[in-house]
Amino acid sequence: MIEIRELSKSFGTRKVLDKVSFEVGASEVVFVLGKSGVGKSVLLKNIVGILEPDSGSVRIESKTVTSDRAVLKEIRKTCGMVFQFPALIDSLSVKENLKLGLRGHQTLDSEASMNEKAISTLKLCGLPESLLEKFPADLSFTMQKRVSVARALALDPKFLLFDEPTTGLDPVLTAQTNELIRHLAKVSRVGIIVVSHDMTSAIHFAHKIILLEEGRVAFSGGGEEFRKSKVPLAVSFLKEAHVF
Amino acid sequence: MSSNYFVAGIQEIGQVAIFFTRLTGIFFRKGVRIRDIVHQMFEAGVRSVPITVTSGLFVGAIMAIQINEQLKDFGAQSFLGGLTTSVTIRDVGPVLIGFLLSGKVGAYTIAELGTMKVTDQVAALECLGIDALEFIVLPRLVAVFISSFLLLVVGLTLTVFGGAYFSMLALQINVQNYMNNVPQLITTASIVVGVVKSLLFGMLIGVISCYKGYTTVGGAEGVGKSVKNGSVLILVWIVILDFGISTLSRLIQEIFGVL
Repeated sequence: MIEIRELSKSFGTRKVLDKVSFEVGASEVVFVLGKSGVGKSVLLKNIVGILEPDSGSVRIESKTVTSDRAVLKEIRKTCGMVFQFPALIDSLSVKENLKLGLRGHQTLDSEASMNEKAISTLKLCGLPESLLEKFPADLSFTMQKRVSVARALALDPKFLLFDEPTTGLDPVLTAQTNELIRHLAKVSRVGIIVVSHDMTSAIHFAHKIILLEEGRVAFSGGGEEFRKSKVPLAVSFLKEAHVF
Repeated sequence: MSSNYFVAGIQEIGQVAIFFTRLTGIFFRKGVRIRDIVHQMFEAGVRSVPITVTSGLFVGAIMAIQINEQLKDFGAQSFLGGLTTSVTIRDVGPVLIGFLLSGKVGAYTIAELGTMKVTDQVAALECLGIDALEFIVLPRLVAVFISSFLLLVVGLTLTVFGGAYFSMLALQINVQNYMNNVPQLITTASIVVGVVKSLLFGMLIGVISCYKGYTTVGGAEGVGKSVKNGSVLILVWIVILDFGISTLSRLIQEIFGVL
């Protein structure tokens, strides 16, 4: 389980997160919504220890996220992150990008098993094996994004954090990505946090929706509750997305 | 206000020193992959050869013109080759070529690392259990250092040819005459000073460009700021370091009678 307790983070005088608390269990899909710049990505970066909170804590599988590199490495083995940008290493082929985490966390010891894993995760994300020897520059943005999802999945994480996974994707790929998220949660029992603006997906398959407003949790509950919510920001989000 | 800048400057020097110490520690503990260095040397170094060749030849030519103007008044043009070569190798050459490399190799490295930082490639590596300093920064530091040093040496060598060729072409001075008193004025010490400057400027370009790139924040605008600030910082430190080495070599000459 991921337990976020009273998490606060400021940049200079600007308070981005203000005592944010919620939990994510195995197989659970939690959508974090909010206006642009409200601190959604900052929240994810605090969870995996890329940023350090000013106060509050994050616990993943009973381990507290600290700045200690050894602890962080252990935590990041179980909790992967897919960034808003594909964040693939340009000088490495798709195959080498996919094997980065396996090398870094030393989860598999032979090249053959790493290659096998790279192929299977690529296929899981709906990408052909022929991409393995290509370089990120040879791929479209949407393909790069899916490779970055495959790279995070190669580690078989217990938790996955997605930072706007469907931004820039066409409706077909958006649906495929959402289906993959749903599959991971249901079949592989991965706990998932999705930062997104995709209201329709949030309403339809989030177990929990967290709405952030001015750094605070303005709403926390299921999709159906969100739809009926009277919180002004929730109402305006539903209205803009034409979801009633 | 100015004291704030001073404190910030001192802080930054400290941070650069810590950054360099961390990278040195990784280098001695874990080494660095030769394949990555070669790749980076090609990207940052080999592609800078044309600009270094061009600038080296022209720096030599410019120095020959300027020094010839002074010597002409005293009828001492026979010293042109020696003086031009000496001044260029010891001082002007490393500084000018260092300036050009800060704009080419330094700016390229800052922009590349900065882009990797703001597009979360660095954070992604950390999440995948890879030490970004070891994986992407150290190979660049070593490659930039070696490339800059070699380019400076190549550039300095070409300043001699540039000066000699231009003197023959435009000043009608025979190459034989130009080169005659070069051995008199160019001592081993002059070459040592030029090489030491090249080594230190190479290291300076590597450390500052890697540090500035790695600490970039704030998206595309942040990358632009890092490139601008980093390039200027390299220029300023090249001048300061040049002054320091020149002063030190003069002191060594006075005290020990060498250099």
